Amino acid sequence: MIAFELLVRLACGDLTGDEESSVEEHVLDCTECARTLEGLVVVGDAVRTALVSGEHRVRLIGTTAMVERLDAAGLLSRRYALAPGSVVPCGVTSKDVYSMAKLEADLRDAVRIDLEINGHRIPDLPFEAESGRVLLVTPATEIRTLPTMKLGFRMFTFDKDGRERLAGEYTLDHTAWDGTS
Amino acid sequence: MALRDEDTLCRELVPRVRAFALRRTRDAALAADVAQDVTMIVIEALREGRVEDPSRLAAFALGVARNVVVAAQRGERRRSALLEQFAPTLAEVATIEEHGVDRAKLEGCMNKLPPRARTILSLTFFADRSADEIARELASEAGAVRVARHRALAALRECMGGRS
Repeated sequence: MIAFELLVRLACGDLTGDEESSVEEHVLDCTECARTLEGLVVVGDAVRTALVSGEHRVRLIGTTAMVERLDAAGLLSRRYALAPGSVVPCGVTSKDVYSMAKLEADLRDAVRIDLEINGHRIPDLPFEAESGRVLLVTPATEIRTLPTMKLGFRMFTFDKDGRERLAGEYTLDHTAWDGTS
Repeated sequence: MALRDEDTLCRELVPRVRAFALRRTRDAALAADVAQDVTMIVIEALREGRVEDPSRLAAFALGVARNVVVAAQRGERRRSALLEQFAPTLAEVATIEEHGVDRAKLEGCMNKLPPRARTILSLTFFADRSADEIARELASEAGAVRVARHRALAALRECMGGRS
């Protein structure tokens, strides 16, 4: 059995030239490797299909590339920009697929970001340091289940010396979906 | 090569070629067709002594498989009399296994992953970004992205029950 990581790289299209040929040849000589590769391809396709459909409840932390992909597919229908200290009203309709909340902050010295949502802390969010923003991408399928409520966010940054700083507090003032619009 | 050996070869090679073809085409039905065609071509070649080094049969099969995938994507399908001879075996091994993924389970498993892992998988499979591109976007190293990605996929597979 070849290293799992090499099969992952093959499944993700991350091998080229001789490396790709070598792993493919091995797959044609190894039934267990072939089964693993097939499973990886199937799971990858299932992830892609779910994200394209928007019919899921997986909350995502976006990046520029992800937003570009969502935009290209016409899937991003609501955007909210939240400066530190802001309270922004939000809602959802039956036509929405994804909603994005952009939390703005000074992230220049940050090497790690934690986000607290209504008191529940989520450690180590991926972020683009230069952009000064964290993108929360939520499927409308998930948002439509929420009651009218205030969603409070607190963003914490950590610098290279491990010093924690409150980078911003934000509130999304959500109005529940009425079930018809 | 005895017919029994050919039957064994057929049982081994078909699922392997199918995985190869599925990765390249993302089309389960096409991958199943390619797997059958490649296996028949390899068996014919062995019968006719056209495989120079039978100990490196995988290398020979790889060359055949590449060509057959390209032809199949153009809509070309090779017809072989051997398909009928191996029909009972192919009926057992060529059919794509149940590929339906339990979406609710997948969602649950995705939500169990750390946010960074979820983002990396989304960028890989949804935004079609390479490890190098993801690393640039997240100010990370490509090696770190690859490690995070393979750990995330391993965790996802385990959560899904060891298979998809």
